[in-house]
Amino acid sequence: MTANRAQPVTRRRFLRVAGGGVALAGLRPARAAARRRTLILVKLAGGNDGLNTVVPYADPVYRRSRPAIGLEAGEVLRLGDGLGLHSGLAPLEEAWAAGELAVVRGVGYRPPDRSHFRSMDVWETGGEPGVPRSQGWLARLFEGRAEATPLAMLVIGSDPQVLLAGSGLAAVATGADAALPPAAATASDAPAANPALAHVLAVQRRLAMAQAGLGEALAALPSLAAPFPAHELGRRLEFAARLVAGGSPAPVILVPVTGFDTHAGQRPVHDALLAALGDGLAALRRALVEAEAWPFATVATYSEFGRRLAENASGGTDHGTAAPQFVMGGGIAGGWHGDQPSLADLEDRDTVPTVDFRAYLAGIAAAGLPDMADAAAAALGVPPLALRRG
Amino acid sequence: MRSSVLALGCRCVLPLLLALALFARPALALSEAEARHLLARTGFGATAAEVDRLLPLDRAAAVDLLLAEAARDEGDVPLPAWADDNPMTVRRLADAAVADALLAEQGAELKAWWIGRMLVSPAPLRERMTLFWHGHFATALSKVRSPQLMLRQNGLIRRHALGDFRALLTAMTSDPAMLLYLDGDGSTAAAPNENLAREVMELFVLGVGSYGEADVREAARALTGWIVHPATGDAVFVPDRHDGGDKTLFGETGAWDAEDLVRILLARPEAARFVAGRLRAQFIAAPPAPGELEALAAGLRRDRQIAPLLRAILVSDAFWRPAERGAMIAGPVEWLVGTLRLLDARDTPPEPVAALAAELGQDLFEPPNVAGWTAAHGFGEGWITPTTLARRLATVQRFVAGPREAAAGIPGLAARRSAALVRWLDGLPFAWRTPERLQALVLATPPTGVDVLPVAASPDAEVLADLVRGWLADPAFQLR
Repeated sequence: MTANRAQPVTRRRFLRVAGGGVALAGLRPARAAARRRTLILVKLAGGNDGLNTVVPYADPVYRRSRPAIGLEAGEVLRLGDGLGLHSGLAPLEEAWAAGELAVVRGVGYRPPDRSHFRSMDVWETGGEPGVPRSQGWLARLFEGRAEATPLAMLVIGSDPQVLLAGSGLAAVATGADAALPPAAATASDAPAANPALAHVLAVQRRLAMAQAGLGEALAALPSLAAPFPAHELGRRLEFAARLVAGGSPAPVILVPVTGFDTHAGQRPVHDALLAALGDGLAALRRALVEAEAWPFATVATYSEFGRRLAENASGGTDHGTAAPQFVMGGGIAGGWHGDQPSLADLEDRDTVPTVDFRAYLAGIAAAGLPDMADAAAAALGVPPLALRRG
Repeated sequence: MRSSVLALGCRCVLPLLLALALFARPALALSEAEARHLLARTGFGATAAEVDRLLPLDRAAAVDLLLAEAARDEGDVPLPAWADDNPMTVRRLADAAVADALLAEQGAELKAWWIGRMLVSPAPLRERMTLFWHGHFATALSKVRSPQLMLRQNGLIRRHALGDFRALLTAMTSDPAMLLYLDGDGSTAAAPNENLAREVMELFVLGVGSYGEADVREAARALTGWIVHPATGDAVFVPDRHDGGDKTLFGETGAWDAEDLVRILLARPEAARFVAGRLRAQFIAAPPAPGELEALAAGLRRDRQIAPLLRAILVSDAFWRPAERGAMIAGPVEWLVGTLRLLDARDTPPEPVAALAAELGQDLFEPPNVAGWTAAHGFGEGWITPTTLARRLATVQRFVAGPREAAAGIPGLAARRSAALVRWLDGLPFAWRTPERLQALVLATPPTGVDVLPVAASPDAEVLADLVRGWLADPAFQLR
């Protein structure tokens, strides 16, 4: 290379570094658009109030404990067993009737940790409560499959990505508009005399592999005919649906939703959150059924904890323990899973979990990514909850 | 040297001597690469001015200068407004939600305060040593639930950071935040809690395998009696709660208390080696040669002083080997603060910087566990994963990108970005504005992504800015 040509090459290289995914186009052929099974995790950050989500509306203890913010029988979609869905989730009735919505009751762990940060850590590392674990449960799930999974997770929104912590696996975060972070330059195979540099180069190569062609792949995603609600969660779920319909480059899509920490004036806030969740998830299902991609999708919720049975003096609820979670998909065994925690038999004023959160996590992984079922059991250390039909 | 010059009080001699210092450099004067190496390893990156300042000095003189500056206490960043509030305020709030909100707010201010100190500190080595001991004596705000006690502990560590290790260790065994974090609070003769005793031996002084379970039990008895006063937050020794009976520690029997425990532990042959090894690993990537650690430990054993140990590490041949340059990965706080100092952006609002550090894996005052950041992340490689590397690249982009990107960035930094790089370059001494010198300032090792520099030295800041932008995104920029 002559000195004269050096500068333009150099500059182009920098532009590529600065220009994001688009500039990587042409480095690799676009990803094949074959549809793949995809697990969509909807993270309800802040601690979703399970008792106002799957509501024991007929239970006198519930009515007594929540005189101000409890839901009346007329405000729920009755599902039987004395339980009803918050009316905001009523759009999920179709999935329930089709046997494609699983409601897993009483998911949690003991002893509870009521710190958002630590409890979310427990959930996302799938760890023993009280024992810090530095590796995310998805990191263990895909352990040893890094080569086959250059991009393990796509985040639609912003998230600390504890799910993949402590691994060489890559995630890419994007907005609902498919905007990508700056792409890593393809690292050269430089001599590795310096082990620190060799490590950074290896990670950069992996990152570049995860990002390679991603901008193109996202730009080539099909649009969906079915309408989505106009709120942020709706836009994110629409993007998730397009990913599934077009062949998601990552086996896991994470959609974080915030705002569930409803300590005060809970009803209007929580009602709106669940309404957005309800019509967003219903739209996702409709769109993927129409696109004939529904059998490939599994949607599952999680949240760091439920909330206390008794409402507080501010018309809200404080941090609690067990809560119901939702799993929805074309191949999901719908209906009730797990027992409803008793409202009479509390521990430190909170309901007692009936389903080990690790069995739940292993269950959603096994249901959403069936060829990972064994890996899921190994990653979580417990047999998966059976959530797949047939 | 400078002080003796000033003492002459003669205006005509001063410039002469300074000129002599510059041109008649001692034979062993530092090279630019050596000066950069020393600064990057002991501080937060290296700036052109900092390198220039060290160039006339030889290795020992440069190390001594940094140590002398680190020994001076400068408290120029105002403490948070709540610093003198009752430390038990958050813990005593009955409403958990109100307490959490206050803790989150003051916690963010606490982290921002320290980042702010690091950004402007004229003695970055002191901040780096404080950060090192913060990881060594890991204590987390989320369990302590008192920003005031965390702030006090930070001050305590900073005061002792280069001082007497025994004084530091003794202070930590009765530090309120530590007592709350490791359950020393409320450990009584009737029910001694072994948590603090175990970590004192395993993590603070001896290392795993250098003590037995019986030692842990006996040490726990020696540490009984301390409480954190629920009204004042002070650590109080309550004789009635202390186990005054005889304990046998490593063969020595007596009615030992916390201070005795510290004395007995420091007399163990493993102690000085363990501490010297931890400190050395903070500054030198290459494993110690046979006998090297023992030589370092011998000094610490003699006088228990941290500064001479640090000096011995920093003047050692191992530290100055050319292969050491860039052989470590910069931790998130070092990297962020170093980048902002390099680009002369020290007035960046510290709160978003602290939040970025947390996103990159180093949440100040919130180490991941009792072992600090070391166990989870090693002294380097664990800091860089695909996720954190992508974030570092995005962060650099936010710091230096053009106006289009500026619109989407974090608040407070927007004003700095697009033109920041050009402004910084324009402000550099002319002699620094060549691609070669700049590259050697920004990167510890040659860039991996660029093979050839532009032909001519170019003072055109736009051209240089383009180069710098590339270097900041180069894998070599993650090194120190």
